[in-house]
Amino acid sequence: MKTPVESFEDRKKRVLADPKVQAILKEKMEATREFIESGGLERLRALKR
Amino acid sequence: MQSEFYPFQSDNDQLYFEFVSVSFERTIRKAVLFTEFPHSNGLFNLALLDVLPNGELSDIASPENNLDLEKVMSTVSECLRIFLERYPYAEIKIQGNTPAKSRLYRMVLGKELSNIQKYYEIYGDSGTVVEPFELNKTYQVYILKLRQR
Repeated sequence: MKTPVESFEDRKKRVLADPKVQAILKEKMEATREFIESGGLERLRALKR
Repeated sequence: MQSEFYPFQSDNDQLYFEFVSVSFERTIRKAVLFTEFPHSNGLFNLALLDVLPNGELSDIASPENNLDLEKVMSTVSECLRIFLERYPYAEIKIQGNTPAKSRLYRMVLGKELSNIQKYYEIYGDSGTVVEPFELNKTYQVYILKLRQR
């Protein structure tokens, strides 16, 4: 019996629902929040003006 | 990046990309994710992952993945280009969450700097100063955006 091939969309849903991915994305969001709160985004946008 | 790259797929929003890296009879499915930080007016995080056959995920920068690193990074670069075609005003924050990833990003950006700067603006944040990216300087965070013509 053949194993059904996982579609791209199914795999994307699986990946995004994975607790490890969720943890990685949460960690990145937290790092970004710290970057913004430390004034990093403001410094960046002031530089580009 | 001018190098060869792997064929890849993206979702309809061009926020999730996948490709298969082939190296010495070993294939690794890799995912590139862009996630927008809420209320930031276009600041996105970049995440790079290996999706293993058993459903496990691993760090794309682990040493055993370095065999075709240049081609992998060229593919990521193409995903980035497609993403920015869709979101031309996006700012992409690139930050390693491990020392290995930080070294990887620094190495790739440094190596491809002259090519990258034709199309993108790159900035580095040391934690106190944000400045246009300079080779041989260490930054905690890199921000990349499309060069406005």
